[in-house]
Amino acid sequence: MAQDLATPPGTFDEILAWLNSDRDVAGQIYVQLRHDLAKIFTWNRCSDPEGLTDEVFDRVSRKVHQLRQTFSGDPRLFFYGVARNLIKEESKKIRAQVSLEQIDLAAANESAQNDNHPGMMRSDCLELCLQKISSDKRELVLDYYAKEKQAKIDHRAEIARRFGMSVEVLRVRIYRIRSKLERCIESCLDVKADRE
Amino acid sequence: MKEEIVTDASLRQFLLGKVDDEERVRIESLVITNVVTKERVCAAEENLLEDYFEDALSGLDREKFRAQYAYTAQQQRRLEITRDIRNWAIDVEKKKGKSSGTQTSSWSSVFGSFRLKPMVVMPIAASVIAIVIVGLWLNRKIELRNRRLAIEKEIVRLNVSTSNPEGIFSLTLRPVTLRSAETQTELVMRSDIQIVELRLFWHLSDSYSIYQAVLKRTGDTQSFIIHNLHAEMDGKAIPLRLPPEILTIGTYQVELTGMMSDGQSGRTEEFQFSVTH
Repeated sequence: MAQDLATPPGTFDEILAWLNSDRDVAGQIYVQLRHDLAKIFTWNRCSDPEGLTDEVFDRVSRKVHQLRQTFSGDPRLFFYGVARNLIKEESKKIRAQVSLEQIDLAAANESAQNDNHPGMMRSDCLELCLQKISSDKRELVLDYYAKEKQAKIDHRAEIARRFGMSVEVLRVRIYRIRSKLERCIESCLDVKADRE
Repeated sequence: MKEEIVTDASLRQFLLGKVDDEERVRIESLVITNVVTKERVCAAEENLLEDYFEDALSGLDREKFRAQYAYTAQQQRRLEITRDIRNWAIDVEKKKGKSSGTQTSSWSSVFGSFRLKPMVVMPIAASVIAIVIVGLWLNRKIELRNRRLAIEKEIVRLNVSTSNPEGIFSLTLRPVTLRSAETQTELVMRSDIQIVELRLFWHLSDSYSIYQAVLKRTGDTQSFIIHNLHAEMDGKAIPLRLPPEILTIGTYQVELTGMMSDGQSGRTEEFQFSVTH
């Protein structure tokens, strides 16, 4: 597992030890926590979720030694508390820079219309990434999204029945496969963009 | 703090940014600490995305959605990728539907070219004969497969229904472990039996909301897997309904497994019965 560059050396181990006494389990919690915090920043419309997640870990790392002695409860909630403070700071900044934000938003919309990643490039990456997942997963995604609107409800219930799982479990499984595909396509697009 | 229950409706409100701060903090804290809530939020997000792509959101919700999910160029790109994956699946499905028509025109053009080049007709005809033989063999396989699919669909239909139609014949089976000294339960098939209902006695202390059964005739290689079975009201028996045409003379084994909410298998019980005429 790679240590985050934003985390001062020496404190990373202490963060892991605080998250869980088993280092392997702690590593998994760490990765998951980073992902969850980034998601929370996104839900709160923060402009740089990854950067803000780094900032959370940065702030916690400065206090972790003391926190391990004094904080009682689930440490993940402390990280979340720090994230909440950052969200408040962000929204204050946004309010103070309304005019600038409007310009950025307009620019972002324009950029979407121009499309930095034309359909052909995305479709190439999609094909490439579809080959990287197992045929079972590919077939499952294909089947899951094959029907639209009302027809999809019965269709998905039928798929779930076939696999002996609930529709909810099926939905989560599809979400995981699709997230993996999306990450693959995003990195493929980045690589292609770098080459150009 | 409100009790730790999150409904699908409140998750959708949360994702559209339509909840107050207290509710937002409550849901976000659960996302951080509770894996089930996190997966439910992700699933709700999934549904919201699909409603957006299918244009099923109200005008206001569509605006809210774009404010939440298309706020930055990166998010817009993510949305486009998600739409691409979905459209790919829909396109493949549509192409499947059109493929038979396309094949007919290809064959016409192949036969058309035979008339123009007779020298190549003989070897190609030999190949066509070979293909026809393989085709007939494949056709037989497909027929068997279709028959099996039809039976599987019929089993699903019978087990979804909770009504008690005429011609149903019930047979209570006790697990093999409980009836060591008893003789094997026998089912005598009659022409008036339209549905066979096996009532599988569940004596274990662990109960499950869903069960899965595997039915196999001794000596056969194939088996039937029946999903989503539910216990009767008292939880003591799990009814399994079967079409009589799949039961021929012989001994049958049923493995009944409790399924946990995460899709993992729980405990299993084994039952046996024989069919005679």
